Amino acid sequence: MGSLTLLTFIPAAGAAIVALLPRDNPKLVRWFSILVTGIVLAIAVSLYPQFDRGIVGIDQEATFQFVEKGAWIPAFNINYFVGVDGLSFPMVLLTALLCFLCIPASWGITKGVKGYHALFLLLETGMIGVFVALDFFLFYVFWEIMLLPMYFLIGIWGGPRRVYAAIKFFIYTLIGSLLMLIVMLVFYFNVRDPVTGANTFNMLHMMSQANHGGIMSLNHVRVLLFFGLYICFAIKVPVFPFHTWLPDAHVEAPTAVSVILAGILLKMGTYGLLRISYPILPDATHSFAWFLAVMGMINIIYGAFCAMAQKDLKKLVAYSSISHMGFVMLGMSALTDAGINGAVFQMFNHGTITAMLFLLVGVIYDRAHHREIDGFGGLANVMPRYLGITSVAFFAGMGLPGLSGFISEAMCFIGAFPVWRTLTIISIGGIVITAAYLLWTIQRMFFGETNPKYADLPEINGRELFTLLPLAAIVIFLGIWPHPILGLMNTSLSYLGELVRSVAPL
Amino acid sequence: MTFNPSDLWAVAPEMVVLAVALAVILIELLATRREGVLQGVAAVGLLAVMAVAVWSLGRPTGAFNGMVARDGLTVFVKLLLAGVALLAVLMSRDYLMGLDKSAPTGVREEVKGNPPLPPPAIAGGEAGVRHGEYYALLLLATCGMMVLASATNLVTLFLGIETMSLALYVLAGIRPERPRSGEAALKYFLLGAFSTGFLLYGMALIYGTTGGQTNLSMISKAVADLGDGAPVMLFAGVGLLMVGLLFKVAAVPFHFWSPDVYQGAPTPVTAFMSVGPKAAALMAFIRLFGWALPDLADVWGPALWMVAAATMTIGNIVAIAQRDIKRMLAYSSIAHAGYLLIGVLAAGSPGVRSAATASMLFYLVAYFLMNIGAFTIAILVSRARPDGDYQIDDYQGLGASHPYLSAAMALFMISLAGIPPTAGFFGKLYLFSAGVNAGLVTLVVIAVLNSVISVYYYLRIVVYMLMRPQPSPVEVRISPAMTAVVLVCVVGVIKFGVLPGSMMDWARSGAENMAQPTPQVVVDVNDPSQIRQSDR
Repeated sequence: MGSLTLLTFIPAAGAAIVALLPRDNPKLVRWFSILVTGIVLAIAVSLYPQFDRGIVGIDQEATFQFVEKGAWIPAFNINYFVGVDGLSFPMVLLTALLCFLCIPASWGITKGVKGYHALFLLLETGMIGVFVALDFFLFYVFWEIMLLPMYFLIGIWGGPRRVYAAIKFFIYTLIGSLLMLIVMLVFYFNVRDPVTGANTFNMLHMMSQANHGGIMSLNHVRVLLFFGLYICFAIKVPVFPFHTWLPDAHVEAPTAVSVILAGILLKMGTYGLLRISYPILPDATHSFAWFLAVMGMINIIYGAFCAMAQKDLKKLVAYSSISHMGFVMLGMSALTDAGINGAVFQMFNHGTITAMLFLLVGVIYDRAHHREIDGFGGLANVMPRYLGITSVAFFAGMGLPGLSGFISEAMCFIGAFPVWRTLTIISIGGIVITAAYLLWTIQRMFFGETNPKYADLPEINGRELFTLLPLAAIVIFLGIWPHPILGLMNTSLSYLGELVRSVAPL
Repeated sequence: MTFNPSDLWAVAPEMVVLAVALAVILIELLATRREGVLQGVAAVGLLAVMAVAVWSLGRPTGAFNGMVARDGLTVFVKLLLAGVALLAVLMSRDYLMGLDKSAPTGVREEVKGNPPLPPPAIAGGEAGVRHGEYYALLLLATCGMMVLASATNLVTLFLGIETMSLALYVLAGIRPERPRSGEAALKYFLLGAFSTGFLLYGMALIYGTTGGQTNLSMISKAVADLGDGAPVMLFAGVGLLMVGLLFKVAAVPFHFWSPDVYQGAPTPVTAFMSVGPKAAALMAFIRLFGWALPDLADVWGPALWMVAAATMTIGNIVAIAQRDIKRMLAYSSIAHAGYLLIGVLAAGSPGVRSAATASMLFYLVAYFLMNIGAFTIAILVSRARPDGDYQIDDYQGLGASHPYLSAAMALFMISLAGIPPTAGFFGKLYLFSAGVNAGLVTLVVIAVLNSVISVYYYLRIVVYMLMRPQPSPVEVRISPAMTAVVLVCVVGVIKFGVLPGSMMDWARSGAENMAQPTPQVVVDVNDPSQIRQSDR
């Protein structure tokens, strides 16, 4: 069994074992889950030195790494085909890291501990599976596997309006999935395996334009397919106007689930665009890159203004995610080296930064049992350490130099500026708004008069620090020396940009 | 025409089923109050049927002068039907025993008040259901379905339908003390008799217009010979035949009986009825329309297209409004029949015929597992209630007190909704891709939209179980037999949802390995000498 299979299925096996553990021993369940996610993280990290940064992946089977391939459903020519390249490997690392940190962050869950952890581990299988799958069908199945645990985690362990939020999330995502299913079947029936001539779900075969036939050679069909995929992925990102499920889901979800939702699930949208839409439909992508850029700009500005208007801290962070995912959209739409590299680096950085933000919201919510920004005040005196670590996360979100967010945002803008000049200039305005709402929030929460109600809130504890400090260290480290992650992706992403740029628009 | 002893292999499973049915009746007479023995004999008998079915597999051929087929398809379907019956038998004893205990005391006293009444000589007690009779009827219905699924002649087709239906009419009304059961039986019987009339009339018209043919492949030849000159009576006959079969499948607009019958019939019978007759009737559909009458696809195709679209849409939309889980599952099974009709339509285009048949077989297996599983849990939950009712509200908060049971139910609901990684997803994928391949894109889009609608009511059960507080604690007792049924269904749904390859291969080889036998002796009604010859 290869490393990627282990990475993908160890959590699922762990979930099965968790379901069989005794119900009256939540501690055992928690520690066992830490063990499982820890093993996954260890395997993922152990792959890091083995990963060859010089080879491309994307559409070349020979240069994918840790590849495993075997027949799964021969009747439909569906293969179990996994592998990583510079696009997916950073996402796998991020997933393994966040899942590991989320288990201690879920210590406060007391209801249905077993079910929670089993679903959480199953979710990890789905997420890693999506990032390593190279067969479209396999990708789809993992995509759907992810959906159900998330639905249950929000719907069972969420806040007061959890059922509404969970169903809204489920229906939005399901509509996206069904669009993807239809697009996938159109691909399947119109792409031929170059060797056998049979229909195929192999993404790499789909990426070779020579294998396309039937209705896929019609321009208007390709545009429809592109937008079918776009809507599916835009719901996940989420891009305006498909974003309305996100604030609801985030507000109701428990802390760790919000972390996963914002830290990883949102990345699936942009990952899907880069992994599927870009190389399979490069001509349509090239034609409609302007559209992605416009949507990215709208997300940046709209998300930032919405965040500014929020009274609930968690909703503020949720809208800030929408805004930050706009940077990713803008960067990748430019198709330049700097733009695409910046976009994927921003995906990684946003994963760590937003995870910190949600964890920090969870810390204060566990103590005060509300998240009203105006309900606090003067927390700096009460919880100075909490203020310190919050500042790191907020400043990283603002894109302050020396922190990882700055590098990726700057790269997105540098990449986008020569291509979309006006859009980029407007988008940069988003940074100002971001700084405004984050600083204003710090001011309202931490400075001023100390609210006597919260004068004796306990300081952030060791378990919480354990979840936050590694992320803070990564944010600072990558802000100074981004090469360890940027170096992983550069070869693949520059190739991907070239692949799309070199194809004439429709 | 000579009798060939090897022909008996073709009906070996049916013969074993019949033998077991008779054995059950005899045992009930000899051994009193041995419900466990009866159940065991029926279950072991069905396992033997499965073994014999596998054993009877051979080169695709016909038997009894082209009356029935002996091929991979029939073996596959007979295995499926025996499996359905087996699980129904396994879940029946608990259900029937529960009835005996909860039977109204008034009835019991009244009977006891009669001095000349002999001591109870039948299993199941005075007011309850006679177990032996019940199992025997179940097995007889299975026998009828098997005949129906292997029929390659209008006569055997009719024989199968009637054997199946008569047993089911009685089973639906086997609880005379419940008015609803009686209502179900009467409705089913009256409407069923009516549909039989349609069926028979259609057969008569086909017989008349094809020059006295009853064998399906001879009909096919006769229709091809007629070409464009086919009389209107032939079309009328095909239409009437379709109505008769659609009634058995419970397709819109011939579905009105099914929710009432499903609700009123004993739940194990409902579970059995929601899968078995559908599977058997759909096989008859495939043989009749897909293989014998593809030349007339222009005639029956559009009609069936509309029926399929209406069936899935109405089934799903009405299911949303249901508050009773048996009625909800009844409408859901109407919707699933609509999906399955896509397979019949796809089988009408010659290039996709095998693939479409195979996809239907796979879908039926998946549907069998998830539906029987759901009904089993419905029985368990209703038995935990004092009034034995089937309200969806009873599922509120079940997850807190019965996490495993709720997880299993959630799995069945997710599979019924067609979400991966479950058997239901691959069933839909296989079926819909056969539809796309046959050019039924619009219908498949309607089906996909319907799947989204269905998610709403399937997930409502899940929401009730896992995301709502429990109003009052319930204690669900689960016997080993019930556990076995649920486990088989859970394992099957997951197995065919993760590794569906083997079942897809079996379904495909079953569909490809299909016989459409012709009679060796053809009687020409227009030739008087032959009629006299055959009379002798």
